[in-house]
Amino acid sequence: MDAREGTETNFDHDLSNQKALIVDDNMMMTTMTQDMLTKLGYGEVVVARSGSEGLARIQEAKDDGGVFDVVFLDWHMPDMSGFEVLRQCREDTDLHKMAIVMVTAENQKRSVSEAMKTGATAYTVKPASREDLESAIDTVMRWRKGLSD
Amino acid sequence: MSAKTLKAHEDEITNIVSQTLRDTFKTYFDIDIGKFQNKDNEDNIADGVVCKTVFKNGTASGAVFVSFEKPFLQIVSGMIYPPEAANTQESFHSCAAEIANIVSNRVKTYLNDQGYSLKMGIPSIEESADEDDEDINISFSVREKKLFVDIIFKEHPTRTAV
Repeated sequence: MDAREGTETNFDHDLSNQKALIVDDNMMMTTMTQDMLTKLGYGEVVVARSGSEGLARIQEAKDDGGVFDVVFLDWHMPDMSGFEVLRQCREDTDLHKMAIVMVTAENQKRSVSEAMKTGATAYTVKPASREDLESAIDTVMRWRKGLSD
Repeated sequence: MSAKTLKAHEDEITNIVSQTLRDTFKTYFDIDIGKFQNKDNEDNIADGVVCKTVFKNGTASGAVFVSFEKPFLQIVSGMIYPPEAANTQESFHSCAAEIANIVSNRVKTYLNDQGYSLKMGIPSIEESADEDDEDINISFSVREKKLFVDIIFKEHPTRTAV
């Protein structure tokens, strides 16, 4: 999937200094999403294939002084749910500037509401198109601007 | 909702599955899938991948089986992975599991909107789909390759205190 091919969009964010993490247990999704985010211009895209690996990558980045700018997080994963990853991240005040975008097939209104209340920055339901991801990134950029204002 | 009354929701569930597959194939692979048909009892997939997703609460359980012909998975896998990685079991399974995950979530959401509080498991690869006459069985085709969706659902009698 080519993130730049097809319909013209107004997506013009410079993401070259941004670092993204994808947490999803499905290889097809990590492959597609990594390809798309790279083409959208992210400077670095890291992949974790489970909730616990995602938390480990987030902790490592924090220890190295380079917190991820955004995490694209699946919900249903075998070892630890994306919701649990979200909850733990939002309990860590060092990660308050890290945006978290849920990218999941979980589409129940109650789940969306629960994730947003727990601190998700945006919520995208699979199958997520290029436009859906661009819209989520746009929300992230506005959220980040709100934090720095 | 018993297995028999699941049949009463067949039209709604078939439409949900059909629309979800249409959206998924268009979004991820830019493929238009064929119209759904009721699956023939004789229809089966000899060489393919079956993906099962279980959902349950304390008094009911069910599963969504999504079955793919292998040539079907070769087509979609080839669109995602580089040639050296596209024709492997791991690639086929990942494509099957993601499509099954999206379809199963939509079915779970529909059933929960009918009053259940079903929790869903992670899609797993199985030998074959479980079927009986009270299930919903749907067939789709993509570029003349087959894809089946079979849904089972049962309520369990609750124990009464003596």
